[in-house]
Amino acid sequence: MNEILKIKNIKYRYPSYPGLDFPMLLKGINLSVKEGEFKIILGKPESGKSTLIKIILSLIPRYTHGEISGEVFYNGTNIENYKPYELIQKIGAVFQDPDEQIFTTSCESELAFPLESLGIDRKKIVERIEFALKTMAIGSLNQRNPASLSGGEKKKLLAACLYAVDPGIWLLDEILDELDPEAAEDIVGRLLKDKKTVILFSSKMLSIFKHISAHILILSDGKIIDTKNMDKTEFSNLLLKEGLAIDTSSSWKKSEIISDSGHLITISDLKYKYPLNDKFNLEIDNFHLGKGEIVAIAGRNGSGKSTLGKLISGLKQKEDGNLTIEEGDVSSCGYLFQNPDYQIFLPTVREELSLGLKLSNSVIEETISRFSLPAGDVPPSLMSYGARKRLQGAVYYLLNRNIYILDEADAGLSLMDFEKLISNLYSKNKGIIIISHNIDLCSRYADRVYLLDNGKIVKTFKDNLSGTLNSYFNSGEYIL
Amino acid sequence: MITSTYIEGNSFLHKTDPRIKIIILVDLLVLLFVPIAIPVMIFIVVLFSMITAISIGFYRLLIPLKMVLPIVIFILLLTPPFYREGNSLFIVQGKIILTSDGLEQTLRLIMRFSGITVLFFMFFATTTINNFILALQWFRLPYRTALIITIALRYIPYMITVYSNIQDAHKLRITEESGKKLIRRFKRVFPSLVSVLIQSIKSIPTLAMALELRGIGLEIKRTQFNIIKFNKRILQLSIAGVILLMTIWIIRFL
Amino acid sequence: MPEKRNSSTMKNLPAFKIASLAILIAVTTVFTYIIRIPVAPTRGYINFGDVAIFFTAVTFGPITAFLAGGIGTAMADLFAGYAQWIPITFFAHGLQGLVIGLLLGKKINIQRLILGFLGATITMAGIYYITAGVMYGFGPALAEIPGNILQNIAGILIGVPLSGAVRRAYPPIRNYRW
Repeated sequence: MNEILKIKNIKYRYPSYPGLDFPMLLKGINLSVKEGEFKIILGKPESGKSTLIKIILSLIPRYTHGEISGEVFYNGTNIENYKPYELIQKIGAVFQDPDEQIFTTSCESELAFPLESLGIDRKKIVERIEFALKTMAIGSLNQRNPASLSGGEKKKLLAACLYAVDPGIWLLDEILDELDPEAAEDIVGRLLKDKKTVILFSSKMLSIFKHISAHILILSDGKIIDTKNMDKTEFSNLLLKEGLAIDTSSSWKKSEIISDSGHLITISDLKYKYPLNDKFNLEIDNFHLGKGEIVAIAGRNGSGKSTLGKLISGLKQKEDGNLTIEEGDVSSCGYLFQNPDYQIFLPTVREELSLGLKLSNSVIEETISRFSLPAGDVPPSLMSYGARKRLQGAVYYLLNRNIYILDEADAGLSLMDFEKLISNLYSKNKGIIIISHNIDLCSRYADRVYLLDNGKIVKTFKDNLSGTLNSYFNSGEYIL
Repeated sequence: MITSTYIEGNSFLHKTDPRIKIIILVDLLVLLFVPIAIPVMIFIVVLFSMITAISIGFYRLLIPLKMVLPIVIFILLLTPPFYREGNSLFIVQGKIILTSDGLEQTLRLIMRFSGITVLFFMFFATTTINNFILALQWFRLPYRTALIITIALRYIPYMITVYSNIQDAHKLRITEESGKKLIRRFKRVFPSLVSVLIQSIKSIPTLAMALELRGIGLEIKRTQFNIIKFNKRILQLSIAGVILLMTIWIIRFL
Repeated sequence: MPEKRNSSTMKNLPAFKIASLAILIAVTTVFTYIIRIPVAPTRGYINFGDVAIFFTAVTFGPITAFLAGGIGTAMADLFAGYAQWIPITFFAHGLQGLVIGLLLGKKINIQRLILGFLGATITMAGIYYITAGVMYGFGPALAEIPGNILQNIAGILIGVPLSGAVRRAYPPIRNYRW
C-alpha cells in the first residue's frame, strides 16, 4: 500500500499577545498514513488535535499567524503547494463543532455545495447526493434546515458531505461524541468496510475502539505516542494518566464538610409549558437539594434538564407548583452555561472578575492563580477554550452564590480541569447541581442522581450510580 | 423569532413562478408612480388586494392594512394644506380646507402607498426567501452575492440565540435593579453587545475556512444544484400581458 | 529550528470577504430587528441598526459598511413586514455606512466624529425624506425626520465606543479591515 499522507516533524506555536505567551503546542509530530488505513488519535481537549487538522488542511498558517515548521506531504507532494480549496478531493474533514462548518439552509444544498464548486454536472450531483444520504441513513433529512438538526444528525450530515465528494483521506474530529453507540458503530463499520483512509480524533477512549482493527495513537504533550506495542495494563495506565478515561476504582474525595439536613431547594408539583411546543411539558413532582450536597440531573438531549436548571435559577418562570429556595432568592443561584463565552463580557480578565464586585487586588490575584488563568490584563477572547471555561468558574466562585448549577460543564474540559472546577466551587460549602449526559461524570461526583426522561423524573437513586445509569443509557463509554 | 413573512400555502399565487411575480411586481410599481388616473390606481390596489386575500385568507390582509394606517392618517392630515389650487371643496369659517387638487393628490398618495405595501406583502407572503434569491440569480444576481445572503440567513437565528443566552447570563450576574433612565438602559446593554459582537466576529475566519474547504476560490465554473425550471412560454405570455395592460391603461387615461 | 512561514494576507481572500460580509449582514439584521430600547416620551423604540452600521464602518471600513449596512437593514425590513421599504432602506443605510467609513477614516478624532455624524445623518435622513416624499408626500414625510436623527445619535454614541471595546477585547480584529 502506498503512503498517502506523511507528516514530518511538525512544530507549532500560536501567536503571542502582550501578557499572553502560548507554549509550543505541537513539538514534533511525525505520522505516516497508508491508503485504506484507519487511525485513531486520542488526545485530551486542547492537546492540539484540531490544530493538527488545520495544519494538514493548510489552513494554518494561512489563517493564523504563529511559529510553524515541518512538512506535510499528500501523495508525495508538499501541501504548501496547495490552497485549501485545491485539497477538496484530496483531504476532507469534519470539524469538532459542526456549526462552524454548515452554512446553507437545507441539507441537500449543504451536500451539493462542494460538488457545485467542482463544476460537476447537475445530474451527477443529484445521484451523488442520493448516494451520500442513503449511506449515512439520513435520507429523510434532505429538505430539512441543518439548524434544526440534533448534534448527532449534524455530524452525520457532514460525514455524508465527505461521502458525496469522496476525498482520498478523511479527517474526523470528535465525530462520534454526540451519537448513540449503535449509530457510532454503523458509521465506523461503514468506513472500515468501504476501506476509506481515516484519521479519527477523539478526546475519550470509547468502547467501540476496542473491538475494531484500528491503529490507536495518543497525542500527548505535543508529540505522538504509538500504542501498537503496549500491553493492556500499560495502555490503560496511559489512558488514565492522559485523562482519556476515568479510573472508576478510586473515588473522588469531597473535602470535609458537615452537611446538615436543611434543604437549599425544594420543588414539588412544578409545571412548565414550553411556549412553542405543546406536545412537551416539564412536570417535576419532587426534587430537593440539601446543603453541601451534589446532585446530578441526568438524561438524554431534550429531556428537559436545562429547562429545570433555568427554572431553578429564575431564567424561566414556572407555570404552577412550588419552588422554594432557602436563604435567599433566585439570585443566589450561579448558573454556569455550557458555552463560557455567553458569560464573558469585558475586555480583560481583571475587569471580568470584578464586574459588579468590589475586590481587592490580592483577591483577584489569588483567584487568577487558583483557577490557573494567564494574567489579569489578558483579553479572555484570546485565551484557550479551557481557560475561558476556568474564567467562567472563577467569576462564579467570586460571586459566592448559595447554589451552583453546572450545565454540561465538562464539554471541552479535561477531566482533571473539571475536577478542579467542581472542587473549588464545592469548597464554598454550597449545594451543586450537575446537569450532564455523561455517566462517568454523574456517578463520580454526585451524591444523588435524578434521571429525567421526556420532562419527568423517572428515577431518583443514590446507590450504584454508574450501574444504574449504564443500564438506562446502554452507553458505550469506556470504563476501566 | 424570525419567521419572515412567508405564509405556507398552495394557492395560485404560491405556484406562480417567482420570476413572473418579480416582473409583475416591478411593472405595477412603475405604474403606481407614473401619472395615471386615480380610478385606475384604485382599481389596481383593490384588484390585487382581492387576489391576495383569496390566496392567503381575508383576515391576513389586515397585516399590511394595519401598517398602512398611520401613514394614511399622516397623508390625510398633511397633504391637503400643501395643495391650494383647483376648486374649493370644503371651507370652514372662510378658510379653504380642501381643494379638488388637494383631494386628488391625497387620494393618489394613499393609493400609491397602500398599493406598494399590498404588492410587496403579496410577493413575500407567497414566495420563500430561497426562491426569491434563486429568481434574482436568474436575473443575473452574482453568485457570490446570493451566497452571502444565504449564509447571513443561516446565521441570523443563531445570533438571536446567542444574544438571548448572553442576556440571560447577564441577568444572572448583575442583580441591580433595572434602571429607568435612558442612559442607564444603554449602559446595561453595552457589555452584552460587546460579547455578541466578539462571538460573531470570531466566526468570520472559521466560516472563511469552511468556505475554502468547500471549494470557494476554485477557478472552475460552478454548476448549480438548486434551480427553478425555466418556462419560456409562461414568461413570454406574462411579459406580453403586462405590457399590453400597461399600454391600454396609459393610453386610455392619460 | 522553528522558522516563520509566510502567512498570507487573510483579508484579501474571497472566502474571507464573503464570510465577513455574511456575518456582518446578520449582525446588522439582528441589531435592527431584535435589539431595541424603548424611548419613553414618544412611546417608540430606538433600534440598534445604526449602532451596527457605525460599528462596522469604524471597524471594517466603508465598503463593508455599505454592503452590510444596506443589506442587513433591508433584511430586517423584510422580516418585520416592511418589504416595501427594502430598496430605499438599502440605499439609505448603505450610503450612510459608506459616508461614515469615508469620513471617519482609520484615525478618529473629534472633528472627524462630528463630520461623520453630520454626514451620516444627512445621508440617511435625507434619502428617507426624499423617497418617502415621492411615495406619500413631502409634508407627511417630515414626520420621520426626528426619529432618524435620534437613530444616528444612538448610532454614534454607542457604535463608536463599541468598536473601541471590541478592539480591546479581541485584538486580531485590527487585521480585518479591508
